[in-house]
Amino acid sequence: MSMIKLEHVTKRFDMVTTTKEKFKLLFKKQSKNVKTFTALRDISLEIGSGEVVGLVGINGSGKSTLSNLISGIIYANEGDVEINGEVAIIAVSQGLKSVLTGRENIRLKCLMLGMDDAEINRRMPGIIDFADIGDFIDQPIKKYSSGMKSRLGFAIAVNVDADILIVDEALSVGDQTFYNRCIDKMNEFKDEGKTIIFVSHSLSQIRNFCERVIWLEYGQVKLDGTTKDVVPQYKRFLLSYKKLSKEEQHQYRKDRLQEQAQNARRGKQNVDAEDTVKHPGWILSGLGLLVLAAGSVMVIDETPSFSSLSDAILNLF
Amino acid sequence: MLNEMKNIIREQVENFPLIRRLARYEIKSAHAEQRLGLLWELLNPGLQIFIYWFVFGVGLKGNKNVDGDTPFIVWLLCGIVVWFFINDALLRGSNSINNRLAMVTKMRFPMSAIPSYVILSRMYQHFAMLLIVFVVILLNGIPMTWKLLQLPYYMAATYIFVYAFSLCFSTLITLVKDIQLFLQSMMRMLFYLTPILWNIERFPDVLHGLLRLNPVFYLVEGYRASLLGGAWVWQEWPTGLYFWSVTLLLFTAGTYLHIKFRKSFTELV
Repeated sequence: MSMIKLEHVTKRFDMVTTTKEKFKLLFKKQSKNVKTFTALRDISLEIGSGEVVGLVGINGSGKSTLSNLISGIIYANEGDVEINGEVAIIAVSQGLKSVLTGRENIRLKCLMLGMDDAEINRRMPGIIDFADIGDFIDQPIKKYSSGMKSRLGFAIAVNVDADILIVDEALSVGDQTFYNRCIDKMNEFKDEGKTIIFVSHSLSQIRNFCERVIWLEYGQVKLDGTTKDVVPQYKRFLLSYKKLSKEEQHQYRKDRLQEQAQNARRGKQNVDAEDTVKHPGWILSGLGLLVLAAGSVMVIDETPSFSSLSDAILNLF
Repeated sequence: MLNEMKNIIREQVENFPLIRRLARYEIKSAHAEQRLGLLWELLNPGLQIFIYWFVFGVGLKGNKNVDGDTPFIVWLLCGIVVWFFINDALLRGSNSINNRLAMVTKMRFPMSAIPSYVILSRMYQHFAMLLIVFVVILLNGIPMTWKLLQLPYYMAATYIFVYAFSLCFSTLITLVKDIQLFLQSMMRMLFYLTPILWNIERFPDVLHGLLRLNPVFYLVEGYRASLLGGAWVWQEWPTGLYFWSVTLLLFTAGTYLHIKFRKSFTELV
């Protein structure tokens, strides 16, 4: 059964930086007249249940964008994204609240995932045990080391019964023992037939753990195949890429992007019905008129005569 | 447009258990580090009411009764009880999405539920304060009237108004942070433009209509009418019509903005 299905997915980010530009967004149609960055271009892929997929690529190739897209945090501009099941994502920046303690963060996160108190209390010991950060569980997150944060985030994510688990470079900050425990847990998930997407820069981790590897390059799938096929090729690419000077690397990127643009086939426009509100201007001005009319009725109803009103206002000054 | 509004309302209903649990957590965690804990929810407004009573009631008016037979403190309490809720819920609700952006953009969460759980968490304090208001009314020997039946209507109206306002401004503040400061000053001003500390009867008749242009007027006077026995809802129909059209406008604008921008909140961090 396919758990994740992407068809001709394109994701663009608006490059708004200043408040002025954000303000303009209020009145303009989005993505028009605004500089955009295409993070993913026309991606199609399918991941079945029980698959363990590694995601590799150099910085800026769209790995995190793809992870976020699958987990439903961000939305595609074009194309279809179909996800069958609950997704848990573990990233380096966890979205934990730094003033709350570890225990409170677990509770808050579980509440936001829709659990009730009984269920949270049932899962709490398991999560704390897995995180294994000792007394720090009752300390605010801001006192945590990056390793501890990552352990807590991982512990929460693996204990919430997701069908799809995305690990976005989160294991790189943990030590060897924690890493081994995570791998054990992920192997457990693998045996239960859950889908795992593993984003990492460590090729040895990928080789040990994944059966299939997807290599992203500047927002497109460069290669998609078994670990045995893809990893050596990616490694060769990395070696040659590293040898390039900075200018040559930029040139390489430019060439690739140009190539992509030439091959680009416009994906079918996916305009969500929910996104486009018909004639908001008319409806809002209609309601504005209603407010105006009701307001005048009210004021006139209360005011004996307008000459007395102007007198009263003049008297105020 | 109608469909989108239905969607927002449906999201509220479907997520209600989640909203209620988060509201409870919100209020508990806010006072977790304080010695007196939840008691502050009553101490804080209590101290403010004392100051207002002292300055405006005793100091400026010599503790005279309002409208002949209502002690000033009772009269003040009936109005200020709803103002505290509106002020708190409206400011926090409007800032709710902006405040939680770092957290909610790391997971999938129904965005339209964020203002509502923040508003609902203020409802607990409101209920507790209403209870105290009842006790004070009874202690002063003011008889309850059938007008009390109107109170649930005015409470619902307050909740809906605050939600519509917060839905609209939570999106706006996420885009333009200045609006939050503007709102704070506006609310401070509105406090004095609403008949909480003063009685509208003391103003010349001709200004009544203009003062009613403030939608909070309807709610404060409505609470007072219910608690102290004033006008029936239908006697206030022009003000009611105006209030509901403002609320509808806010909800429509809020829905439009929320739907248009909710998918891109993540990118605006």
